[in-house]
Amino acid sequence: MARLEFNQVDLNEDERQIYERLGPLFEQERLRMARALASGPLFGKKEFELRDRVHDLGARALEVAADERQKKGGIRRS
Amino acid sequence: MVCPHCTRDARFVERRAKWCQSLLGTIRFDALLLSLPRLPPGHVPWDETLGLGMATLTPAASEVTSIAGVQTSFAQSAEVTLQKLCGLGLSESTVERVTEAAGARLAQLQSQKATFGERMPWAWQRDARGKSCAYVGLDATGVRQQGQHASKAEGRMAYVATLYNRAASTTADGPSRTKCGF
Repeated sequence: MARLEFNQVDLNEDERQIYERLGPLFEQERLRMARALASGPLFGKKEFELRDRVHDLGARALEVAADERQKKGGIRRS
Repeated sequence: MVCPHCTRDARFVERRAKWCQSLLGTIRFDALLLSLPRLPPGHVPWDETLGLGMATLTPAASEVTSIAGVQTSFAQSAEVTLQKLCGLGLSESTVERVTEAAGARLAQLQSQKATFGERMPWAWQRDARGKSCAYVGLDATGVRQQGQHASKAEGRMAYVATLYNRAASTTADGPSRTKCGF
């Protein structure tokens, strides 16, 4: 899969807001992953643990994005 | 050089890129290709250290593939289920091979009377005479079979059994006594 290289300066205001809020979340997860991956068998149970962590990170990212949109009035109750 | 897996003398052949399908997607790593006496050429010790062996699927990817493979057809599992649920892009034949290999391992363990899951004591229900009492449920269902090259074959009966403990209130003295119902 091709990976696109982005630069912070390419971000618009909305994107930057989310980017900045995601930073600490990703840093915390980075620490947890480093600790989990440094020892023990790499494949099998650890793959499931890592998958759960990545999914959790995705869920937190969606929360942040939803919160940012709500602040801007992007999500309104019907 | 020394094989990092078995610590025997080995001859370095080459460094080769290997691709592997993990639960989180395709991963690539460099593997040392070694030649060891009394082993076929192309021994890759790093595979064994990682627990991959000759497989191109990691243990977790194999596990989800086999789970999907027994739910529906191999084609449906490959093209829809695994793709949608895990993002795993596998061919129908890979799903078939991995699922059948898991089935063969399971059959071997069953023939060896292996215990699955943790061993744990059960607080068995007691009958009116105070004897511990377990219940066995058994059901059989016909499964149509297909022979070699899609030929007609005899159907087979699959048996499913359950061993259970009838629900009852448990006191500090153990499970309460109830009458067995047959």
